[in-house]
Amino acid sequence: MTLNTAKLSVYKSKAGKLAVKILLLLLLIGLSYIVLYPFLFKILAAFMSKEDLYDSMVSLIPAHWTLERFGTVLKSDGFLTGMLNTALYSIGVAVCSTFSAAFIGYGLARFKFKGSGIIFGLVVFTMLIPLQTIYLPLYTTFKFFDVFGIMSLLGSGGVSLIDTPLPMLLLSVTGLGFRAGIYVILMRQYYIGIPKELTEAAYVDGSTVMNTFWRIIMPMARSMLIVVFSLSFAWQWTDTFYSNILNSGTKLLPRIVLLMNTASSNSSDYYVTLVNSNTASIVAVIPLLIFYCLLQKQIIQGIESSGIVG
Amino acid sequence: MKKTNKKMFSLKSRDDKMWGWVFVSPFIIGFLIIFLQILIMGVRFAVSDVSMGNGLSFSFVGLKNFHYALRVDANFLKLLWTDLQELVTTLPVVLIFSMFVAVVLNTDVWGRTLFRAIFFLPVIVCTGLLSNLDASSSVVSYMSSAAAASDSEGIASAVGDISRFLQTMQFSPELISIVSTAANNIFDIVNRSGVQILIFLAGIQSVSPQLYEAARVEGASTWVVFWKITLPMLTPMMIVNLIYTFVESLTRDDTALLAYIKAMSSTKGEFGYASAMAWIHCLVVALLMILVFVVIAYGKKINKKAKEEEYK
Repeated sequence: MTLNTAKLSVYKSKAGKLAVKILLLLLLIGLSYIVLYPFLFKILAAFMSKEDLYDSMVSLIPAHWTLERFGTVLKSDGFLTGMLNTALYSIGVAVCSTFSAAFIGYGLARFKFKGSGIIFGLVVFTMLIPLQTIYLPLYTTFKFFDVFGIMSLLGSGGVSLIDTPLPMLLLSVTGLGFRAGIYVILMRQYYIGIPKELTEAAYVDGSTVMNTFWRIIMPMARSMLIVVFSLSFAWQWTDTFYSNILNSGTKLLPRIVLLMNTASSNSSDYYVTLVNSNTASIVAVIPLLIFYCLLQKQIIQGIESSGIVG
Repeated sequence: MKKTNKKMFSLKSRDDKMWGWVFVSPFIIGFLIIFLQILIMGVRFAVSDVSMGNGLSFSFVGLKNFHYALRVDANFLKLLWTDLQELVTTLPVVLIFSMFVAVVLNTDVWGRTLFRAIFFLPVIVCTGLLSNLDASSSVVSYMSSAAAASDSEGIASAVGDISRFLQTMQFSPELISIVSTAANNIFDIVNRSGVQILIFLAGIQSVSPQLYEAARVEGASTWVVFWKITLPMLTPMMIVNLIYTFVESLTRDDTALLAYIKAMSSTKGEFGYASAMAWIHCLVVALLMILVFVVIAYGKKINKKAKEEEYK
């Protein structure tokens, strides 16, 4: 009798767990639907043939599936080189901003010095300035780039860095890139959570500050570093603001996609070119998703291998 | 005895100072040679009448632009107030929602890799490319025009589907409008929580598994584990997300005020006035931010005191 009830309760809790699991799954499916909905039309339209696009009876599911749109996009002028450029550019920027955030955040979290509060405030402040207001100043700063007037003393009046990768790299190395303040804050908050005893034990063993940072802190912070890397990579990849100002001449992917989009409105074959440019935006985002799927496994593995005890 | 040991092991305060400056030096250098220039020029815009002729020409007008924004222009303060109201309502919802999703995505729910990828999409969407495309392209509205002809909003979101479904079920229009507003808000919240979910997820991952194991051995329920382990360990990330949500919801392009500022500079060519408004906006946000920090610091102090008393 007692054995039976015990069995029953185990069975019950198992059923309850299953019910919770199914409920959560349904909830996630619902939320995913909300997230995916704006893409749904674009994705399905990308598979439509020309007849489908002009057929008013075909509204969502293509009647004749085709890969023609993807072919057009991939063969279009400069798309693949643009993607390669963007990939290299984004990797460079993401690496720079990850390391700078790791550095600056550590300085703010671990060392007590006068003015650290002010510097933290300045980091937050750099994020508060709306981008539209620094549009023109940003351009002129890099159009006539100069360090404390040294260049103008030499008589050249500043160097133009426009259309080179340098402005973005300079901004990310110094923790000033697109929303870079949040990377610094993220790293700082993470370091604060690491027990002080760990680093002090290392100092007792004669490890230098730099050594401790590279050998102990950085491997531990792996999952946070990956978050920073994926955010800055993804945001650089799809960035239109900075590349419009600083790299309007360089062939970067977001600009190519946007240009295709504006070109389509003047085209005679309106809907086909429009759907083509939309397909281009999907193709542009796919590498990002693959990249994130690969990285998010690293976030989990980072913890299991580092062996922090909280 | 213990105290002297600790002092011996920790760095000397002089070294502490030096290394602190070494680590933050990249930011300081960048701030001095790049950001300061941008700032000064931004201020110069705000105190001038800027005209676009052959290049830009500035004529100094002092605080006229600021005065105009605060005293003459009726729109400015009204729009600023709208933005702040919206912030107050969305901030807690975004934070709670993103934490909830992060916790769920961390359980062994089926297909979580796929779901994590899907919830990464809003992170990408919040930057320029996709939103720019959506604003300028009509493919979505074209494709859905047949189905959504009755939809006055014509927004491509799941909302249209839901309200259409309710219409076919012949529910009352009041109910439909309530449900569709709610759904519209959910759509907005989900799309603004992408980054926060990612940060919380990484935060949960960095909680040591031993803590959870110990709790399980002691027989703690999932509910208790969340409140006693997950939530306290996530406080640092909570602060990050608080700052991020705060900044993001006041500085993204489509807030009422920033859209107004943008229109002022791009279509009317009032660069100086637009810049002055942006500076006031920035100052207000900075002051609020300081207020938040003060509250957080105060909360920490109280917490610490309570803990100390508990130990006594």
